[in-house]
Amino acid sequence: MPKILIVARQEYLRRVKSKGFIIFTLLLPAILAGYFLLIVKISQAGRNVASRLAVVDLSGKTFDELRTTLDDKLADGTPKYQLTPVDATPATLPAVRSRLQQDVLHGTFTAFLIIPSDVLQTNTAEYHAKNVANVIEIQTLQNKLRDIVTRLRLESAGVAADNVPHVLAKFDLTALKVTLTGDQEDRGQTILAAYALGTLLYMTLIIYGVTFMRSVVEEKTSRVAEVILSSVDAYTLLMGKLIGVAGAGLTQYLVWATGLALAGSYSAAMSHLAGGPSLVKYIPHLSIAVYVCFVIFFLLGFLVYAALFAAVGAIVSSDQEAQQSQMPITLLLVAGFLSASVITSDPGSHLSILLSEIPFFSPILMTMRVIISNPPFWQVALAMALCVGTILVVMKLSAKVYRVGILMTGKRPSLPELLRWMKYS
Amino acid sequence: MSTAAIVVSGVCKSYGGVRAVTDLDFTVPEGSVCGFLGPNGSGKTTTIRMIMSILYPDSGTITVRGIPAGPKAQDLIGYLPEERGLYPKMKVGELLTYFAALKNAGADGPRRIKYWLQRVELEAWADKKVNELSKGMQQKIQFIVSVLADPPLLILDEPSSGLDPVNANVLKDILLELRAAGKTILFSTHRMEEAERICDHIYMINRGRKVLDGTLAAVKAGAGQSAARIEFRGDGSLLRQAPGVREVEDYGNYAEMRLSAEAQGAEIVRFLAPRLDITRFELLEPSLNQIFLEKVSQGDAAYAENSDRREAGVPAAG
Repeated sequence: MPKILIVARQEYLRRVKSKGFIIFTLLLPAILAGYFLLIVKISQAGRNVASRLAVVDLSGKTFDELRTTLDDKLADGTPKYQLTPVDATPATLPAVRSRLQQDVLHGTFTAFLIIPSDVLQTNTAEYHAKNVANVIEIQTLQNKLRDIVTRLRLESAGVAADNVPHVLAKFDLTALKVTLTGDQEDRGQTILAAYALGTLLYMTLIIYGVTFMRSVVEEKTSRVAEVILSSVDAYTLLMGKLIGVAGAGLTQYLVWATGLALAGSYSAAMSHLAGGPSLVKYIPHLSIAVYVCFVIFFLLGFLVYAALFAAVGAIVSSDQEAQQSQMPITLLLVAGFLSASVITSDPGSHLSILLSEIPFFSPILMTMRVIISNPPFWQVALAMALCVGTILVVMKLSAKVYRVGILMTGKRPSLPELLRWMKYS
Repeated sequence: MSTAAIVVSGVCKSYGGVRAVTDLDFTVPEGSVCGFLGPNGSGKTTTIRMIMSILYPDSGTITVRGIPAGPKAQDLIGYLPEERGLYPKMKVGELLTYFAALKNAGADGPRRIKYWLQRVELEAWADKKVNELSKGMQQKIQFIVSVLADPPLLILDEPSSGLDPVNANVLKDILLELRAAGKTILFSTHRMEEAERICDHIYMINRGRKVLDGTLAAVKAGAGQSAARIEFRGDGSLLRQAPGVREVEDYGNYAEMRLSAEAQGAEIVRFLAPRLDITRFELLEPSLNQIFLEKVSQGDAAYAENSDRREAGVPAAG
């Protein structure tokens, strides 16, 4: 077996067999799933309890319609909202209100509504309950009352409107992207996909970049570097480590992706059986070529930044120093993120093209351009080639700095010293 | 078929203007045990690192069994660096397996790991992590790493430093076994008595230049001076007047005399016998330690002279 693979295998097995890796790989999906279930449970908890509402309708115009339109059902088919009309006049209102407050406190009603006589002018009503954080119920009541009040106002203005929601329907401008395969509807997935890639890359590097850097520094702190370098050269060592760490990262993602796919197809099957909407529609509708680009640029982006982390690891001589010195890399990544707005505003501009060819930005920016517009093939290919070149050159220089650096003991080198080291044979 | 295990010829190396090694030539014969001697900072470790291709020479060539120093040559040499270190969190067995693989030990690796762990009595520790081992045990593991792949050559940089007398003895026995098995061993040390005990060959460098090169016997014969040890009663100041005596170190119970090249033991005794009550007289071979000190002080003097000349604007010779 070539030595680069021996190093890579060692690095890979060491990462994958570590307790931290196993726990993180299995626990993260479990935590996420648990969190998701919790949210679903919480949001359903309120829904399956009947609401006993007392309604004081001083206007005398809204109660009947409210009762007929509030037709939400509980799981067992009984109505969710049980409305009780309460008579009152403006004169008796204070007394009625304090009685209803007692009723709510004692649980006779879960809440009461006071709809003022001039509701058509004031546009407000009151909702009293022990718990005013049940957003769903409040939102539902607000929407129904708004529709009723709006209809009444339209009527008083001489407009007959049986179907208020239809009259008030929101207007959408559909954005269609012109592509080689014809027009495609785009509901903002392009931007979403680009930011998803950026975020994924960022998170991965935060986790794995630092892991890799520590792995590069490890031979120095444990002083084992000389024995290793008497068996393999520094470039092979660093490249082997890079492959090993990247492999461990991919393994983790593969486990997560498999889990996600299983969970996704399970829930899709369930919702299909229940006649609900399919989850598939939430997956952005993009061509295969775009997904391939996404994966390639994700890998390239990871390797470019990992190479930079290797360079930092090669320069510093301890973990603490490494932590302090990684700031420039993070800034570079953030700079790429921030330039995204240049791409979204005009993906074909000279600045966009230039930025999307710079290897430290291209994994995010070129992917965005591929998703948003259709850049010429050579521009995409060039960006990929530049990434590969950058990885190799940065790794070569890192290896040189690494080799000279471990044999010099003591302080971190200054910039001129670094340049000199790169020239050493 | 060459009989040279390592050939270093015309090798120079400098670090940013500071010369570490200058025009170094030497040949390590196959099957020999060679001592590589020199004071601290003389360029020993730099030279060894160049042979291991951890550093590359600025000029000159290094070959190992006829192969230029590089990845292929690396596999022929087991190396114990001066700076010791192991992966602290790895298990001993895994660590040795990894190092064996890195040296292309092949299918024979597992058997050899077992053999060597038994040889240094650490086979019970194979499943322990390195940082659970004592310092001495780690030293032994470190040594095993260098011999694990059964390389024909061994380069050991200060192998006995940090070893207690018991382990130093284990090391010496192993080195003798390896020599008997036909291995070539080059080791650096500044413990002269150690080199004197087991070396066939001596190379000595000082300030990056070779100052001695030859078999132990030849080096001693060529040293051109010897010493004598005398036990006596009487006036010790008379010793200096004896013919051929250059220097005297009087320790009270006995004295050591450094003699000039042409000094004759018999003449000294004839001169001293009537004047002192001699109880014992012994001619000594020059010790490697003396040769070493002599060479280093000569070299330093020459260097100082050169610096003076440089300062005076006269080009230095050589």
